[in-house]
Amino acid sequence: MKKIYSVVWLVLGSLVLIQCPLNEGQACGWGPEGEMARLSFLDPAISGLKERTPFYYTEEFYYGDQIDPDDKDIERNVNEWMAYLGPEVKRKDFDNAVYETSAEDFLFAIRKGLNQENTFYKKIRSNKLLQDYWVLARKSEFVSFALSTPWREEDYGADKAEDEQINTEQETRRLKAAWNQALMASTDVFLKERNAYQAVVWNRYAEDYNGVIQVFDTHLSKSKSILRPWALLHKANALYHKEKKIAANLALIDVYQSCESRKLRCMQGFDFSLTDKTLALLKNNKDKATGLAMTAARNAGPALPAIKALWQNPEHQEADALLLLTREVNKLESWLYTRSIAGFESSLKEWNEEETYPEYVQKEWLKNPATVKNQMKDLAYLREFRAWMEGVWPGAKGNKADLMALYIGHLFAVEGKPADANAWFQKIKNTSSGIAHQLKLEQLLLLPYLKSLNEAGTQKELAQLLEAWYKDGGQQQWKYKPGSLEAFYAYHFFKVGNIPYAALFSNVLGSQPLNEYTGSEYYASIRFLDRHADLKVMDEVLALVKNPGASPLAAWLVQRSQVNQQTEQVDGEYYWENYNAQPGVNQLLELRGTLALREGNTAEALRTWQQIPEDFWEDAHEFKLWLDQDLFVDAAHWPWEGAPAALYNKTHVARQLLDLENKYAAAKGKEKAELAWQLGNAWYNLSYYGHSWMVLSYGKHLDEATGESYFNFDPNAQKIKETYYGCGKAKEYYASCLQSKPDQELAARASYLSAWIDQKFLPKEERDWDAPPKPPVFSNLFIQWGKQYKNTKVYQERMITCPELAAFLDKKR
Amino acid sequence: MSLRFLLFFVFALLLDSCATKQDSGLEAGIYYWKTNWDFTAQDQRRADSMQLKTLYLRLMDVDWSEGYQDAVPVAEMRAFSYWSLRPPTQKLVPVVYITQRTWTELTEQQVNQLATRLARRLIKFKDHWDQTVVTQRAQAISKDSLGNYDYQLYEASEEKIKSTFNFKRPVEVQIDSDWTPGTRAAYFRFLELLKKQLPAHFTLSCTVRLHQFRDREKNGIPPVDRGMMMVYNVADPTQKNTQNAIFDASLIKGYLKGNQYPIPLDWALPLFSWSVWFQQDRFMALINDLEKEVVQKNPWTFQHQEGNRYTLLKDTVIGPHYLREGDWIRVESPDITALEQVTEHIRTQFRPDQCTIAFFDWHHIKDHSEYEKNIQRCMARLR
Repeated sequence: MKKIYSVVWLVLGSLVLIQCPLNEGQACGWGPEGEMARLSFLDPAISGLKERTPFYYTEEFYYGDQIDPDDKDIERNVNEWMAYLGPEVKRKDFDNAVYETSAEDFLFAIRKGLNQENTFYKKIRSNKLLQDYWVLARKSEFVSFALSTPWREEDYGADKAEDEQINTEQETRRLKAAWNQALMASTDVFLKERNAYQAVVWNRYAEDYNGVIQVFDTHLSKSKSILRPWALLHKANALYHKEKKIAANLALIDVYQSCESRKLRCMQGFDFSLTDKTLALLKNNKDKATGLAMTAARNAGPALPAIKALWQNPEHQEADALLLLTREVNKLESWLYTRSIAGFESSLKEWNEEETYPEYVQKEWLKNPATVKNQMKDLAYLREFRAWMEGVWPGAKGNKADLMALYIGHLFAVEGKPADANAWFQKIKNTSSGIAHQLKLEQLLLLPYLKSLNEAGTQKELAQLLEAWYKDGGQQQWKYKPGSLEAFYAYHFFKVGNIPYAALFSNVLGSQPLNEYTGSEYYASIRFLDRHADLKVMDEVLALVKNPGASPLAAWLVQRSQVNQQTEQVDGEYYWENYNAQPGVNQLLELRGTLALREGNTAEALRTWQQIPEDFWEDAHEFKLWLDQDLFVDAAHWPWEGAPAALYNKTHVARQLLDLENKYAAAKGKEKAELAWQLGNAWYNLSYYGHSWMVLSYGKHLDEATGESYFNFDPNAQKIKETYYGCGKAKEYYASCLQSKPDQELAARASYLSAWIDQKFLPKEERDWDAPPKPPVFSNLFIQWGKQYKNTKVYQERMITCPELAAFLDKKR
Repeated sequence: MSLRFLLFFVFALLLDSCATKQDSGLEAGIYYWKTNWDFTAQDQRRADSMQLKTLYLRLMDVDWSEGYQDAVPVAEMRAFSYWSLRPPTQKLVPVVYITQRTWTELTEQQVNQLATRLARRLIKFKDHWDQTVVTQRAQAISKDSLGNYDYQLYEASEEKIKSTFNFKRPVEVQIDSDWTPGTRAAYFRFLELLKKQLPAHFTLSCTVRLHQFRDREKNGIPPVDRGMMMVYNVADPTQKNTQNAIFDASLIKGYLKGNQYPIPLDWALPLFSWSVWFQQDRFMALINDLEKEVVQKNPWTFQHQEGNRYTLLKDTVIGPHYLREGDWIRVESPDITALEQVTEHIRTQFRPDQCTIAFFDWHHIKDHSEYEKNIQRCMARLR
């Protein structure tokens, strides 16, 4: 499974030698990171605006890794060089020396006379000016990235100053002087511009901002080379440092419209607090349109006013206009889909433990008035934006018109209006392959609004549509969130009460970023059912998984869940993983038995688990190590006495438990007391607080102990609240033990455990970590226990093993 | 509290006994040649089950830097954190690989400086490692069931552990560099200087290649306490006529002739494989991930010719390589028969005793159960 997030999900403490129960395990957190919860179904790349890629809509502001995806700037630069160097230099040799060889290896090769066959090296060796330029350029490149102390001797006890191998400040000043000198000395026009560019860069690094401006204005301001916008970016920085911030903004607008690779840096350097003043100073429509587009492309909220203004500017660039439309559609999807499907108000930039994770529409906050209002506002804005597009659409031509029709139809689909959506899709004249692919997806997005998902016919059609869409490339398109479509269908099946298919869809995205829990493949595949299934649902799922061929949709889901992917380990190595994200039959039976036991139906649990082959527990059950303890030991002892029982197996647990329950039902008097005592221990140990909690749950988090936030592992939390979190059955059995006239020692034990359980539910005081720890608070039931059983061996033993309790009782005396 | 301490010290004693070197006999060791320390509990169990006593850890490379005009560390082992590292119970030998060009480029003064820097780094590494062991032992007894630390207990435990820990136990450090008669002077001078600057309980060893062993008069004997004889990489893999560049028993026996080497030797044997790709008999690349069993399982792609050679029956992409129909590959690995022949030769010719037989390297071995058997068979042959 692709583990995007490093998750260590369970750590059991092991060195607890004191006798008071302290058996909580700790589950470390899982959390979505930036963008993982954002959903969108419109591929922004469909607009064909590759050079605007960094500004496609994202909650992270920019796609910083997508700068100049077609290397247009580099290509311009190389073309300029190749024209200057002449036909005797081969392009591949230039690329090899300049782009594929490190600065140090390049310099080593020059000094040692290596790479004689390379035409670029040959050329520069025959031209001293050229060689001087490249040697200085690559030395500069090395210094830009060099550490002053590669040996990091200061970390190893040496004096840093003594060890410093490169004084970077001094080197910067030296290089600035060298480039200024080279600029003055050069007579070759081409090299003069190159030297001027380097002089601009190194004057800036040396913080000589006047120098930057002077060199640029004198040598590069009228250049046709790619160097002009590149150098202008540095001039903008110099202007900014000289407090000429509006002038800096104006320079950045120029750079933005003149080259590709620096667009992102223009946006990053632009002082948006001066937007109005900057735009007011722009003299021509072209610059005004660029300024408007830049500011609108940074707007994370509704940008319709800016879009309208841009639309009215006769010199706006088509790419900017399309970019803003695409961003707006993606924004609306993010707001509307993310809320309903992923269960977040908006895409998450960082995990906050106060947030809840997606539980689909069940979460209370979705009914929160503010959330409802936001949903309505977003829908209203969707309609406003769409209506504006519909209004300007007649004026659009060609590809732009087709894209707008697609966008309008898509927004109808987002709103769940299939008739309107399809009407707009039919207005598309030229269906490019990208648009055709998107239209296939649109049919999938519309299906839940057209037909009942609970109908077998619809399910069959859905399987066919999914198959066709994935065959056509599926979610390979750029920047789709993998698993979005599965999340969409998990949500819609859940909405119509079809838990089996909701679970299977949820599992397909088991290895995808939308999955809430990725710590365990075993659990990931049953997680959804653990939370939402009952025995009837389990039987339906079992039927689907046992015979997927009977349902085309189930067959497709099982096949689709085959994961075969490379996963990166911590050290950067990769390994292959193969597995199916859907649970196997034994896993489902294992869960079914667990659900039965949670309901208190031990016989049904045993019947279910008996269908599982014995070796499953040893070979495939991920949590077997938590199932190795004797269920019936005195729950007051931790760690429990004696060797592990080596059960490894829930079937054995259920068999023993059922046997005891049957004996208990028939027993009387002291025998009944003894059996009740054992059953009380068993159910205590099966509870959240006991050492065999893994029999009933699949994980444990400390936050669960508060009883308020069933946080990570909430297996039908409300359903098993009483038994699992409340120790209800344990309490009943201990009470039965006490009613059955046990001897004093046994009574002392049972009474002690009753008090101990009572204590679990005392209000907890927030620990003040700056103050010394307070003595633990004990249940008042212990006072009665102390009085009643003072003369028992159990009492004496407890006083030794739990000195805190002894101190408490001492005080109460 | 006292019970905790008692249990802890039993635990600490056990660990200590595991960490110290056995005093006699032949031992198996392993090279760990990655830049990251990722040695899991499972790896530890595996290494223990193979009875590996020493782990030669690639600490860093050192290379000439044209930019700094000096030798600089490259790809230094990361992840040395007091709180996160799992120290192996094997004896640990840090190894520093130094490129040959370093010796041709450094000035005399820079050679001196490199020796000083490396001595400082190796001492610090050993201190750091010791501290890691102490820290982790202290952690083990000061952590409660919730994973929280009792810092008072931690500090007290750390003090007690330090008072019994043998910080001056014998330690070996190793330099790996391929010297030639032309670079010998600088390299040997470096070794002498390094040895002088290491504490007395440090043993300095260096690797010795087959040609250096055979032509010892020309190449000289390195001024170190021990040598690690590298019994592999016997030929140029880029040549089409090479049989097996990693390990060729007859070639190796040709190198391993003559008297005992003047310094005590440990022996390094290969347990790794690669494939060498040729196009029209022209060397194209070494393909590390293409192993014999993969090739043999795909007869529709690789047609066996003779020995370890296979012809491509169809165009095939392997990692970044595009192999075309008609190309051929040579799958190279040390087979057990050859290994046994060589180990037998070593036993009869040099009667090794009190030394380590180190295998290269861990990441290949741990994924191949047959390599584990090879270790056992080689060790049995030598004992």
